[in-house]
Amino acid sequence: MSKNYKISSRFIVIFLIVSVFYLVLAGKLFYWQVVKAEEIKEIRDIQSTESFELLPKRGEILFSDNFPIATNNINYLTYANPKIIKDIPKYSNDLAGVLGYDSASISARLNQNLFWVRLGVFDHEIKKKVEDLDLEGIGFQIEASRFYPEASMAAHLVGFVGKNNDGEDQGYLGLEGYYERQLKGKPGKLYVVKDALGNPIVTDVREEKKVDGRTLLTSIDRTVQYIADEALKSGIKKYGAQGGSVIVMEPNSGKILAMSSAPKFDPQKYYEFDGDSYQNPIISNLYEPGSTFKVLIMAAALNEGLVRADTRCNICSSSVQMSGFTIKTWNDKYHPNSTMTEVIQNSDNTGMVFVGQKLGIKKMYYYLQEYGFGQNTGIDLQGEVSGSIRREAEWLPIDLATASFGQGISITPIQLLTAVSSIANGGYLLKPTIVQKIIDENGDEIVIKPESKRKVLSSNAAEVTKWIMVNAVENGDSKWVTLGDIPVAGKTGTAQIPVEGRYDPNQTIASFVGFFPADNPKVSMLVLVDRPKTSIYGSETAAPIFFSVARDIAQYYNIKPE
Amino acid sequence: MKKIYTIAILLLVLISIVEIVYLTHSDTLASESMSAEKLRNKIAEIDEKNQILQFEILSYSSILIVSSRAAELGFEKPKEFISLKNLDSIALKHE
Repeated sequence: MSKNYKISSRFIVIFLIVSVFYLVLAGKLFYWQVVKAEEIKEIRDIQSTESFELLPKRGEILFSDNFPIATNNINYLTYANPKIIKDIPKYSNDLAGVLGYDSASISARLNQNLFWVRLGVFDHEIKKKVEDLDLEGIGFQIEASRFYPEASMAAHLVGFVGKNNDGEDQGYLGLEGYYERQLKGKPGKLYVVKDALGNPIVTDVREEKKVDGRTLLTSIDRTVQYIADEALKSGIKKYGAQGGSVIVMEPNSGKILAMSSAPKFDPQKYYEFDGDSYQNPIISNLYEPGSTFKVLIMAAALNEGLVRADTRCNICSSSVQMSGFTIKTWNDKYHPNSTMTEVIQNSDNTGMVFVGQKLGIKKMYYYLQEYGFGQNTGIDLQGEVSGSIRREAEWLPIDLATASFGQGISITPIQLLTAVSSIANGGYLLKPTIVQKIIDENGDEIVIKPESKRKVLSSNAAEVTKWIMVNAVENGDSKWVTLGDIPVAGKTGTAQIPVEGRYDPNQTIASFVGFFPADNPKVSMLVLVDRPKTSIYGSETAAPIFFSVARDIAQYYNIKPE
Repeated sequence: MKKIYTIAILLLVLISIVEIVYLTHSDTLASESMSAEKLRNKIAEIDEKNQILQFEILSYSSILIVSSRAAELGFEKPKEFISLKNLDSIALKHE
């Protein structure tokens, strides 16, 4: 054996030491990574795994032009650590100038023996001003908030986002409430494993994906909504009313184009308003419709063939006595032998008693149900009430008589407009809708199509009623308001408000319902004015608002006479 | 013996190479993790800026703001309006 190839004892020793070292290392690794793997993993998860909740973005609500009615914004929770502030009085003074608080209240907070003191939630402009002060111990945390770019416009329609019992965001009322499940999305989680220095290990990132809320595209036309809002606001001021509502609908599809009510609330600062102001009166308030109801009863009688437009009323020469009650006309003037067209033109209560008697209780009850009274319209807004119609067996002849001219029956404004729209569209009762598309984060769309509930009137009955309504506008008590050459079908209403079992003659809900152009209706609308002071009549309050809105809409949609 | 000697040396070299590769890989992972963290922070920062910009755009394009600005500039609602009933060009009739 040559000397060169002879393994020295020194080599063997070193080789053995190195080999033993590696074997021990491998053994130790085997022990920790295989034998003790589960135990170590649990300890690692506790010590080095950090999880972050991935909050989904709440879905947007859009006008028909894709401009947001409701979207998201960020604010900053601003806090300070009093333990590291050296000169609290100066610090408080500096902050007071930017935050808009008095320095004493800031100073009181900062003098607490705490490591973390909340200063408030502010927008990015204030945050920037605070940053520019370059104060020690101040920090910010991003907070998502709901933002309504058009402020209180359509507030009742959109609802608001508040906090539920668990402190989580939740939509209440309107679209925010109705579509809560679609809008809120699903939170995700991000698990990050960190190394000894606290840096995340890129291969050990695990994510449960968040799902952002869906976007709602509505049929609300921003311009029409603005027109309705402005007209209602100026009308309420002009007539000294307590409130009012305007609803604009496409009678052939049931799509709502605008929905405005006053008094309003600011959905951004809902907590500053009385809870009662959150209710949308168009879907949540029951009222007696008064004379606007007459066209529906007339249409029902025409549909049954019980009267024709030229049928003459044989009880219209004086007031009508019934069950100890005297039924008069609104101005105590009487029109003997009026035709049905004239009964609507004169808004004649005695003429409507004649129609009601022709119809009878059974048919009256049937048509009230067919028109959808006493039932939800199914509009996609949270907070709708249905009201109720007394059972057929409970009806007395006086109930039949008063119901025929819209008294003694409670309905919601949306029920009335939906029913009147059936006259405009050839007899179909449609489901009113606001959301037209639901769009998820991948852009996939669910399209909501117009839905016809049933055919209430024959095309002929609807057509005849329509022209009776046109005549009422052109020759009735509101003949001084017109839309130029565009024919408008409409009807005024002045409903007294029942107070403690009797009607108060000075407190009314004045209204006007109608649609235009009558020969090919594109828009139906209801205007309600709550307790106007300058005049109690619909023809002098609600009708001018109706025609003001109609004029602007006709101009905007370029609606012209056929 | 020469064979054992060679194998032993090769084994040590191999183990050393594996260790070097492992260390290099760990280093790369750590660097990538830090880059990923920076990117994540950057995305959050840009997202925040985007939301602030969107807020400003929406605030300025609100119909309430636009209409009040228009009123300030002297725009008024038209007193009357006309609709053209057909598409005949008015200008052509004057040729």
